[in-house]
Amino acid sequence: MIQNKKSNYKIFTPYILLIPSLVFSVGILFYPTIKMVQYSFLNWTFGKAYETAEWNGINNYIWIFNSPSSSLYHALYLTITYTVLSVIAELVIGLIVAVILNRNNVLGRSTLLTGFMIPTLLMPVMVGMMWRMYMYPNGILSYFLRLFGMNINWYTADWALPAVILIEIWQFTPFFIISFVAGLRAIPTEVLDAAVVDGASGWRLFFNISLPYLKPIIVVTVMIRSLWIIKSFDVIYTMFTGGPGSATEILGLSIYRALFMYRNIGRSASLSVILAILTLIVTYMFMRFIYRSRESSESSNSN
Amino acid sequence: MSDNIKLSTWRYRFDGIFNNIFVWVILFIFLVPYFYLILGSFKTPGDIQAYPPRFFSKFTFENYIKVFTDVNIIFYLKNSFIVAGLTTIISLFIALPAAYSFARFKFWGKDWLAYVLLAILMAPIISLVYPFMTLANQLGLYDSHLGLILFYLPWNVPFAVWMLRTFVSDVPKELEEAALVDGCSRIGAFIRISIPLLVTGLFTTGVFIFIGAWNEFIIAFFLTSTNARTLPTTIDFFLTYGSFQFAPMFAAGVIGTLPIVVCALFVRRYYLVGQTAGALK
Repeated sequence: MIQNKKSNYKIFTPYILLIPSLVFSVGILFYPTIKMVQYSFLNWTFGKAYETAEWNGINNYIWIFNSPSSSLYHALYLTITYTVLSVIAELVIGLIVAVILNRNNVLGRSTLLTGFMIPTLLMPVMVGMMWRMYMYPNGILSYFLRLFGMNINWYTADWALPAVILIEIWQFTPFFIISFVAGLRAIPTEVLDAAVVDGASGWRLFFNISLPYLKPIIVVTVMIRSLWIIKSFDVIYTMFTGGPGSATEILGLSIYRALFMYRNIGRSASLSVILAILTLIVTYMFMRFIYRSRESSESSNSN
Repeated sequence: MSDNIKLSTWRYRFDGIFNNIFVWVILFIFLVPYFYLILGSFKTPGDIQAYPPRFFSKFTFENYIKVFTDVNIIFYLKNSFIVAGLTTIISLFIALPAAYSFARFKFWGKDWLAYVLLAILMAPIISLVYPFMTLANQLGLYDSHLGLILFYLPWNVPFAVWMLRTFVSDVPKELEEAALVDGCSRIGAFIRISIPLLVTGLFTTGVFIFIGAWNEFIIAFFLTSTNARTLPTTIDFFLTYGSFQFAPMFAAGVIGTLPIVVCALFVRRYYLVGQTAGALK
């Protein structure tokens, strides 16, 4: 009897230990998430009491997908452009710098890596504010660009998105660099030595040995960063608040504008659902990848 | 043959010089915007807004004094400290049992639960802002420290669980088992044997949670108005109050970011673990 009780207790122990964490994460988010979905089906604008907001079926979604004044496709286009261009640039620059940083004859590597940490840790709002000042027509960046004959006004519809991408690249390429250097240093030296003995050098060494080893780290880094960019808000809000016009109105800003400019809670909630689904898809891909790589590393460890 | 070696050492030297110059120049490019912010915070408003820019100008604390007197930044710093500090401590307390559970037990649904927590980490805050606002109003938590902390937890607890899980796994199981043999209870063994070995892990995780909560803008911006406003939301003052104020902004930017940079130096070895919630180790 006592024995039985004890084994029951043992079965439930791991679950009991999880309860606080689940309550304060899933538990807190559950109700707001349900509410978000519910709001997305309501014809509800500011000034209207919640009780009087009527059920609107999928009309919010129909409007968002069909109306010419809906910002959805524009926002999706901007979000994807912003994400893809930033991540590709970060990936390429990150790889080049990491490979060179990883050479044996580089001095002060740990100082360099510590230095590269700094931009990634800065408060996004302050980063937006800082670049807002630098990119002003009489700001320091505009001044330097003019020295090189480039007279760019970042506060125009054409240049606002490039400005935001530039800031993203500035702030988070260092994350890619640090991540890739860690990956390169984890390549067993025997493998590299063997390849050198076999006559591989330079580019072949990189493409045939380093890159395959780096692949899991590249995928994880790219996916994490993409997720953060897709749902980003702070930097663009402080730089442009989605403008000029709607030139930087990515999905996050679209939700904000639907809520506080057009004062339409229902449509804003529909956009929120769309953003949530988009992040969920990328998160799912990301997790499947981590899960598989964890499994394979665990099985190779046990062998 | 000797020619060849000479050539290659020359090439090696040139290569070394090039590599070193290249990486240091790249680092310089990435740091210069931030250093310029620090430099600018000690310039007079006139010098900051001068065009063409003046790189060397009068050194002054004027901007800092202005930020502390006009904007009363101490109040917002205090709020940020309370919210970020309590979020950190509470998250660690809540997450530690779960981390222990994931690291030490094998149970049905383990992977599934761990990935549910990781998925929550990626939930877009901006999507949930309006439901949060209504919920906070219903609970009377709008514009309160407690409200902010409560809505920070869903993101920080899963993060802490994933981080601490890797740190707990690194503590050898055998140490706890030895204590069990000596008559300790399972919890006693964990508290007496493992917690002292987890100090680094708890500290590291705590620093990353603190940084995240300190930098958080969206929830703080939409869920506070006067009493519980944190530092990131104060940029609004510089954006909208009267004219565009460059100079105090520089000072506020430095005050908001420099402590974080210094904090992060203590945990730089764990930077990648922290940035990826333990996905990259």
